[in-house]
Amino acid sequence: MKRKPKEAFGIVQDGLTIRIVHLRKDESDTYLMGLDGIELESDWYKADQVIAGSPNADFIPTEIQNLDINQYDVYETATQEERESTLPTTNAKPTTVLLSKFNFQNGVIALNIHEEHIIKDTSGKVDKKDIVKFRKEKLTKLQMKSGEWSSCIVEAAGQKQHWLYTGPNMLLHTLQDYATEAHTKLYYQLADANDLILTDFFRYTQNIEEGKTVLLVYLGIEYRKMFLFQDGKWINTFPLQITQSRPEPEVINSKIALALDSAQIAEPDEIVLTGDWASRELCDYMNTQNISVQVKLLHFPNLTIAHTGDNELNEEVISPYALAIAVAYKALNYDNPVFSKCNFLPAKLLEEQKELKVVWHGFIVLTLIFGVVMYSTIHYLTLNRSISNYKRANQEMEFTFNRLKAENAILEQIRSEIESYKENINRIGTILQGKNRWTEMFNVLNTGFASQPSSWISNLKKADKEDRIVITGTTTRRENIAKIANSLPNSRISKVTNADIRKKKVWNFEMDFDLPEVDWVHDIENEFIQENPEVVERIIAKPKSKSKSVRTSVKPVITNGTLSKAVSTKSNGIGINYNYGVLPLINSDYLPQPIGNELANNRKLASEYQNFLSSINKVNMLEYRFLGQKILAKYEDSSILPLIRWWIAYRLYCDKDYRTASMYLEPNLRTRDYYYPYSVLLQARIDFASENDRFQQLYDSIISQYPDSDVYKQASIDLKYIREGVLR
Amino acid sequence: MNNTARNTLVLASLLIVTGAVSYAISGRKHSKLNELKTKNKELTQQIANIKNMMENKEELEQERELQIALASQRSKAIIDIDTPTITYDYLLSLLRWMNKDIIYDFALSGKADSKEASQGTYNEYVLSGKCNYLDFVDFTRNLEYQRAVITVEDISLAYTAASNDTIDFSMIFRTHYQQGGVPISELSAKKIDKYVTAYQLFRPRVYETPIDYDYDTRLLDIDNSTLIAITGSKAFIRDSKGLIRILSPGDRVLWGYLYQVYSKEGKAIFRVNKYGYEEDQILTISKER
Repeated sequence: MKRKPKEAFGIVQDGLTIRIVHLRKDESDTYLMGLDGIELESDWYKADQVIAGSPNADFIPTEIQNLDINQYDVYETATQEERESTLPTTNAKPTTVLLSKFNFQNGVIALNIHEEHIIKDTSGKVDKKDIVKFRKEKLTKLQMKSGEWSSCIVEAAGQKQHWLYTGPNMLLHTLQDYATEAHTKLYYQLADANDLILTDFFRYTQNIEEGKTVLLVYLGIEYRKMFLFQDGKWINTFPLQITQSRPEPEVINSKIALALDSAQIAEPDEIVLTGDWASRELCDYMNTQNISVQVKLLHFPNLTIAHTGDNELNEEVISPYALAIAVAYKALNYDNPVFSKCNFLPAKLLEEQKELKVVWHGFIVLTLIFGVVMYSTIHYLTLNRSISNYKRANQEMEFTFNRLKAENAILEQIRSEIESYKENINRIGTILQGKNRWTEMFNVLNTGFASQPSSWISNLKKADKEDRIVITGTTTRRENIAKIANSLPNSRISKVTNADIRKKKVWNFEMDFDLPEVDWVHDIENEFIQENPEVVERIIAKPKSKSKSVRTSVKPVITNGTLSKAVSTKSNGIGINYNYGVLPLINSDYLPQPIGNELANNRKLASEYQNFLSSINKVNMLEYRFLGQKILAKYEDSSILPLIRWWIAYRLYCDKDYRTASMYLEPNLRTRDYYYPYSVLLQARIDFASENDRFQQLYDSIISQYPDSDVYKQASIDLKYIREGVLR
Repeated sequence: MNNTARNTLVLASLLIVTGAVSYAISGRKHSKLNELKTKNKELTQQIANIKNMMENKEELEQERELQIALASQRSKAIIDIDTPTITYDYLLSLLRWMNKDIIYDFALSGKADSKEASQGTYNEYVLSGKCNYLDFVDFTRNLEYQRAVITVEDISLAYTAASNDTIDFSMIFRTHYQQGGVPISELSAKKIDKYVTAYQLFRPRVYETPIDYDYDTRLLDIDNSTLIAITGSKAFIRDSKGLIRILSPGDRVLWGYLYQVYSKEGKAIFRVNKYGYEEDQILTISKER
């Protein structure tokens, strides 16, 4: 149902007549835009038109296909000229011609229902149970199923009454048929009972004074009734038993009087006539017959009647259209509380017409939809913007990356070359480790024997499966044997015998000793430093601006730099899986420190030591080694040499050059000095990184031998890292 | 079901569809955004890494130069290829650089053992021969300290009585080589700073027989001479050829020198080192020595 429509078409059927009125509402004014009507050949609702003998003989089928509405259209009230001007060239149905004169799309349609299809329950029985019961009693299954019935609680004559409209509405069907035929969409606002249409309109338009009794008489083609109003209220309805199709004024007057007498009602103060047979002539006649009663035609106070050429549409002329005007009026002012809210349009049709009617739950869902859509849209746009930004950024970065990659390709080649050179150098160290100690051995032997000149050897060979040398010799002084043994590394006298040479007593001896250690890495680098001082100076004097970090503190911290994590998981043989690799850096508080006053007393050494510590943290892979070597070679008796070796080994460990690191650290592990536990700790880390299970023994030795020391604390941290698999 | 309920249901369906579509679209977009973010992160990291690496460009170039310098100037270098011919020739070069000659036998004894990966590729050779001990020490020193990476695995030395200071020796050494190494032809003699105390370790100091060495034939052999007279501090001695030599204390004789002359007692004391230790030998004026 449309709220506050601007235009309405009141269409009513009364017997054989169909009348249409077009009203337009402009704020408080209502304009009569047009009216027309036709007369049918026969009544749509007459029972004899329906299939005889049917079990539902009283019920006219509602399905349009079962009705032949066209058979009823035989006559129209319009003039021949009008017909010729409006009729299509083909034989159009009269109702179609009538309806085609109005542009229904501009407004809503209000129509009446057939009076005989309204069944009224006893007044006052308006409970839900009563209503349902009444419906069940009065409606057949077919009617119920058709859905054309509707019911309404009407307040008539001061009492509430249940009105049940059983349908069908042939006028509605005609309109629907027309809409289908004309391919137009009609909007049905209202279908109402004639009684309600008239009484509502009368109360709405007529200003009935207090204490006054007014009788509204409608004289239609078939529909003829009187409605009594008192104090503005509809208090009673009386049917008029006028059988003549065209009643004379005398008959009408007498029938009204008879009806009033029958109802034992006093004469009203005023009688208002309207309908097809209401005329000035009738008014005049009745006024002459009833002196005390004022009889007049129904007037339309709020209706602005247009002038149509010669014939003015006065009250008498539009009186037959009163019902149509009233129903159109009601459609235009449906919200007005004066009008009853009964609407006998089929519920199905009303539902179909509702384009989108929502109530609170609908609004909640709508709000949610709106919210979802709004959120989604905002979110989508935000995401799109982000995607767009990232795409743009990625494109730029890809471009930059490709450019840098191209530039870096040459650096990769350089790195590869450097790695190759480094590998060669490292391989030399690896090959020479523990080898080529013979020259040193000859030197030791020669030196040792040269100090004991009356001694000589006769045989020299390597012991089986050991790096030990066995010598047999002779001396003329027995005390020389011990002196010689003491001059040889880790020597052991295995046999001494005496003999005579030309009566001269001599002692033959046999002893074995270790091949002396030779630090080839140290020697090679030392030799390089001594022979290529200009190269070393170049290395040390490299531009420092691009060094990763230069620290001159006593505790250098090796940064993560560009080192990558090298992880391998392996069982240690007793079922424990370790993530072997380089452990996180040693806590700066637990790093070894120089001891004694040597650095304080030797400023040059202190300066070189500081430079060395700074170089440890630089990217340069050689500087720290050369600086370290320089100190090692220059200050052979210094107490900080183990510390220098430790730092070089630590840096090599961080660079994952475990073998060289071990080589540097090895001399530290021979002497149990202050730096010994630190060296054991570093060796344990190197062993762990190189997947040597010895690391556990080394950590155990630290834990058992150096409790409460910094090394112990770091060892505990390391073991925790190892257990948790934490690596650099 | 009335219109409003139906409409609500329709709207609810629409809400569900809208929600689902929004969720799907949003999910797809999120997925795409995450991909882009991941890629962005990776690219950022890669660019940072590459920039980091490029920051060290100058250092890398310098380091390469230094590595090249190190490789070319380093005291040790692995040769690029080895054959017995190459090694044999290299040994001769060593002797030439030493300006000495050592006689030895040379043989290839083995090739690199793949199980000992850290040692890389090498050929193993055996040398055996006889030479002066100090020459051998010098030879070993050159083998170990010259630039070619050659490792001496074993040495056995034994005194030989054939001649003084001569030893029998046998040596096992390995010539290491690898692809990309230095051609042996580019290796030249280098000065070796490593010195060994010169001492004839194998030379006996006491002998059963007199020391066999080249002596001056003009020196008097007192074993075959006779003291015939003493005057003051001079001794008159006739040698095996009948020639009379006049000696004063301090004059050299074979194995030693004249230590003292005792005229009253008619004897001359000689100090000789004939068997590795010093002893006195006395000649007296008599018919018999």
